[in-house]
Amino acid sequence: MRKLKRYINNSNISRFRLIFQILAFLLLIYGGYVSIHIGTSIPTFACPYNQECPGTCYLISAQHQLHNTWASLFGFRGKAFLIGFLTFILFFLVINKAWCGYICPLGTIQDWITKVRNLAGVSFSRYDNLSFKRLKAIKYVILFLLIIIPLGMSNSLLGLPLFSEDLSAPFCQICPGRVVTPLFIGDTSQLFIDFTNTTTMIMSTLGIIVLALFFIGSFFKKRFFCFFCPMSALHSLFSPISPLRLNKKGDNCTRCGNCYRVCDVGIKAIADDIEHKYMVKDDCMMCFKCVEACPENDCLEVSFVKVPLFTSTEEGFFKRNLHLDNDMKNPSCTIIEDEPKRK
Amino acid sequence: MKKSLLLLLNILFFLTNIQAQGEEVLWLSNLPPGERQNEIAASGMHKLSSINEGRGRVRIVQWVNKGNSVLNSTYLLNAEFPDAEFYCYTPHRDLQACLVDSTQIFKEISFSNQIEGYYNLYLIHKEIRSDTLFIQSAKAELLNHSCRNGHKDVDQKIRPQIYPEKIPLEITRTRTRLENLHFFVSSGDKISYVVSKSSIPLSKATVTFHTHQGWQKTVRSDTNGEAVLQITQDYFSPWAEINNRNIYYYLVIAEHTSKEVGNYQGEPYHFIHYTASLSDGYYPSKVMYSSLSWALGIFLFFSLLIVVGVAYHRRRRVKIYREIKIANS
Repeated sequence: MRKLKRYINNSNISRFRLIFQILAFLLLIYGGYVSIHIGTSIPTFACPYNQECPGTCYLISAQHQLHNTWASLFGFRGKAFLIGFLTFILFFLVINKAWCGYICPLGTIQDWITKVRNLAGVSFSRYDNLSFKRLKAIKYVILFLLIIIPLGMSNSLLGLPLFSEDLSAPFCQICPGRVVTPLFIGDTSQLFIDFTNTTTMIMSTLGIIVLALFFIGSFFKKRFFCFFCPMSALHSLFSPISPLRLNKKGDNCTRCGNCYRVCDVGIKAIADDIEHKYMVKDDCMMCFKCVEACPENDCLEVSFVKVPLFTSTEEGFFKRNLHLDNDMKNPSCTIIEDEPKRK
Repeated sequence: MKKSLLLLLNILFFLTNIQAQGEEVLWLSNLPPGERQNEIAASGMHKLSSINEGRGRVRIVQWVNKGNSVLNSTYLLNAEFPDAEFYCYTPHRDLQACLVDSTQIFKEISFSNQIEGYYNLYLIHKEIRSDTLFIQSAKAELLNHSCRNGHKDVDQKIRPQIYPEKIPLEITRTRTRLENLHFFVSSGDKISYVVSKSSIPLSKATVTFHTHQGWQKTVRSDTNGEAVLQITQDYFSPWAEINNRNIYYYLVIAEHTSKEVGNYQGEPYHFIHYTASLSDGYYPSKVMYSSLSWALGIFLFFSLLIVVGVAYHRRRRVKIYREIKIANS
């Protein structure tokens, strides 16, 4: 048992993650070809606009289920919504935010774009602390709109007229997954501007702008889109009750900052916070690169129902060695980050 | 008593209609069967199947299909329906000879086209079953145009023609206001069809529209015999196909049952069930291309804008190297 534990702690979790991501990508993009169907409450971007998708992202189901009158929401249709929501929670709780780090196809595509940037030798960007705090609120605003707009299409909110039905599932209209995932099966049908009316024209144009932001943003900033993702916001609300946890023993931390440097999302608290134990902050995608990069014994630990799965060790850190990848060595990130704001 | 009789009659009509809908409709297709695809060329901008006769002359070829939709139809064998009649009318309303090639496995009709405008090709088949006479008329409107012949008298050349003396029930596509000799039906278009029986517009006829992918919609013709149908975009071309501008085919079937008493080949009948079919090709909608190009344009513009923005932002934040001198005092 001790040998197995040592083997895992010394292992290369990033390589495991890469393989897992590829398999998950194949499943969520091409699973339909082999008649796999996982359901309609998947807590990650399994986009039904991709016809070969083996399941449906919960956000689209939730938007459609919320597009109902109060009377139906508190009646029969409410039960459907509740069942869908509970299924989502059950799916989510098992692996917590690792859905983002290990399974999400959009996340995987962003990681591939990062690899392309690395190969091109272009330096990456990071938000400064103030921008980080401000920008991370955006995903909650999007989540709020995602709930409120479908409700407002069937119910008058605060005496306002009903929203246009053409908003359909509003987030899906602007989600890059709608366009990107079908492209992988050679389907270009989602790359369009809908000229049907003003609403559809605005929404489809917005969708294309977000698509441009997705590609270019992910090129310069690792996991750019995850920062604005309403699925991540929804995850954050339920993350603390998941049995899969990333814990930190503040007493063991020397604040070397390795964990922060490898963090794709750029969560500074992982290095700075030595008081809190639970380290899955709202933007964390549980990739566990921080655990890999931590040179201190038992400082960071991944556990499932309090059973430790993967722990930072000095031996593991030195065995992995090469995990201080190009990005960590690249000084451009620190220049941008530490510079004070201009007046 | 009178009401009961009417009700009974209605039920009878309804039942005969159901029976008729189950029938396999004959329709003319521009698509050659598998083994003929290599021998048949697609001529002109409307890509009509043709056989080259030399000296610039071609014969337009059509095949008879049997089935209720584009997808679920089979080619009619040459031996089937030997009593079927074929008529070909030139754009000048002259009856022209058409050839049924008996050497082919599938029924293949061809005619030579020398005149600019719409040729109308018909197949008429009559059959009596129980006390109903089934009359099927399959029609193809085939536009012959070459830009070398100029573009004069367009309205006259594209005008729809009907031939009640030979064709009992006819379905005709109404020409659009802006239609010319280069016109092609596109998905998304609203097309109006007029059903006429003995040259009189027929109301309440069942008109069913079938797309290439198998979608269908049924409407009833109005008092002017008109049925308006929109061609749904039920497919999205893969990238390669967009460049090729592949043609898809639709099928419109009009049906009508009337109480007419008579004799056909010595057998009496009390009802006549008319079926008229019309098939034509359609291109993907032009809007699809403009919508796609707009999307690509916006995507590229914003991508460029973001790249320039990031480059500018980075440039602003680069620290200029300055040597710091520390005074000894």
